[in-house]
Amino acid sequence: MSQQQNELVTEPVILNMGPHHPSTHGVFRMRVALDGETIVDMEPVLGYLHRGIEKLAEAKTYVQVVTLTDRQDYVAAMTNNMAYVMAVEKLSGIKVPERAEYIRVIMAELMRIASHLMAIGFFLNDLGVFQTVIVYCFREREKVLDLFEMASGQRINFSYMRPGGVIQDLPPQFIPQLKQLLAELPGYFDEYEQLINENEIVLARTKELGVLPADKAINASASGPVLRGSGVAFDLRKADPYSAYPRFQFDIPTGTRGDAYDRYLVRVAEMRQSLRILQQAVEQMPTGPHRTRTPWLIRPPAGDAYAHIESPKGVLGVYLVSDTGISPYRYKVRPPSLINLTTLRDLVVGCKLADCIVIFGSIDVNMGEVDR
Amino acid sequence: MYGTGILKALAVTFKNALRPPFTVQYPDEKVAISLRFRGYNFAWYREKCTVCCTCAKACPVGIIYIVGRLQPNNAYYAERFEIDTGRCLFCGLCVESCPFEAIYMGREFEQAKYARREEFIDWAKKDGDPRVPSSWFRPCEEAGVETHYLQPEQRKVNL
Ligand code: SF4
Ligand code: SF4
Repeated sequence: MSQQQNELVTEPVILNMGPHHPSTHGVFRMRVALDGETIVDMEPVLGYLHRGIEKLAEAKTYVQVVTLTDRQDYVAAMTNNMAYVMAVEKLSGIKVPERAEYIRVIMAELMRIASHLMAIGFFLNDLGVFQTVIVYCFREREKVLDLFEMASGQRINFSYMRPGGVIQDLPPQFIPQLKQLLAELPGYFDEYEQLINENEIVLARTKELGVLPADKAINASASGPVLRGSGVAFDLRKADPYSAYPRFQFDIPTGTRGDAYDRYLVRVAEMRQSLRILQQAVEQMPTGPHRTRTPWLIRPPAGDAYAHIESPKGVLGVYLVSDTGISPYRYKVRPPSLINLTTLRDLVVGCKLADCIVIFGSIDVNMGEVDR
Repeated sequence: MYGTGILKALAVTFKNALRPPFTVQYPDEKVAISLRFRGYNFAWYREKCTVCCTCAKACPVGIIYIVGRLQPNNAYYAERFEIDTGRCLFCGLCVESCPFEAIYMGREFEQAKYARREEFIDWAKKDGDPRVPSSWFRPCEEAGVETHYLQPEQRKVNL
């Protein structure tokens, strides 16, 4: 594309952002065509982190695949585990005890808080609030990870859930420490809001930036905070309740304009709703077994099953096909990050190069999940 | 008024500047790790292990190498029990699958070595070293009670 202006001919410059750019959250490459500082075209280049998890799963037993699901979205591994084990349970008709459902909900909501904290921190890091907010967010995330470590023994790759429940019951110190965290976190969230919400620099950089209209978001099949930021109140926890979610009261926070700032606001509001769910879950927590006995080598009947949950980044679906063997015949993931990322081109065209990074940060993708 | 938001934000950063530091100076100070921590220094007990190789089959990456020898008393003796900890996921499936509670995750994380081959550890040679077993998948360890694995005379294989 060339422009003729006052007999001065300009050509768009092709610039590669990434894969080793500090703001690309992993290894994502944007091939941007620039006219001055304005983006005229953008082409995402994916696949740098492709590890073939879907193919690898075909050679692993059903329990071993849980370790692979940890590595899809490595900042929200609990929800990946949960989507996968729900698909296996659906496929083989395994019943889950009540207590296990509650433990899963607690883990999923803690994971949502940890993932959103990271999303907010990196979003502001990309804005240029260099390291301040992210260190605050990591401080709180650390406390959540301590809880995970207490229950599952790991801080990132949990492998905590198993078909039929969770691997081990919560340790006795877990609930008191969780209650203490629930009391602390709202104060910290207030601090973030005080730090960011009215900050003129943040407002100038993020308002009316990267506007995703509701119809476009729906057409792109976006989900999670990206969809809700555009004002569509769609949340699988309400739309298709699974696990113990029908028993909890919570709202779906939505944005109004669908810009980068709204997506940030939705994330903070969602963390507060997660606290509400956690509070109720701790109060209603039943006693009983944490796992039904399942054979080590699960052989589901031939057929297929699809399970989907609301992961921190959106609708995470898992499709499993069984041929009565000990490993899945096909394991397919519907990654929310990848589908939310497809909206990126529409959002950044016409923006300045510096804003492109902010928009990308506001979508909150995880490359491990995009490439699998 | 323009600037009030920034002043509010500065109040937060100032408040945080007065808080005690959250970080620890790692090599000098260490944070306490949980009882269930899945660390690398596996605790393997020769007297409980029957060399059934269930753990080696359960491992998703296949990094457990076991060589057993049948003894005159009909029990197997592990000559080699090697785990390539450099490739270990610390998933704990070997611990979960062991029918005799012979292997536990360790509670150590300082795994750095100078060469890859040093990560290849033969636990059969290290039997008797002090071990720090993790209570992951071994709740008895957490409660401080004896485990309920089969006694050596109970698990004799009558060929
Ligand atoms: S922890 Fe997992 S990867 Fe490591 S040896 Fe055990 S089964 Fe294999
Ligand atoms: S550690 Fe356990 S599973 Fe592995 S060979 Fe010994 S008894 Fe069998």
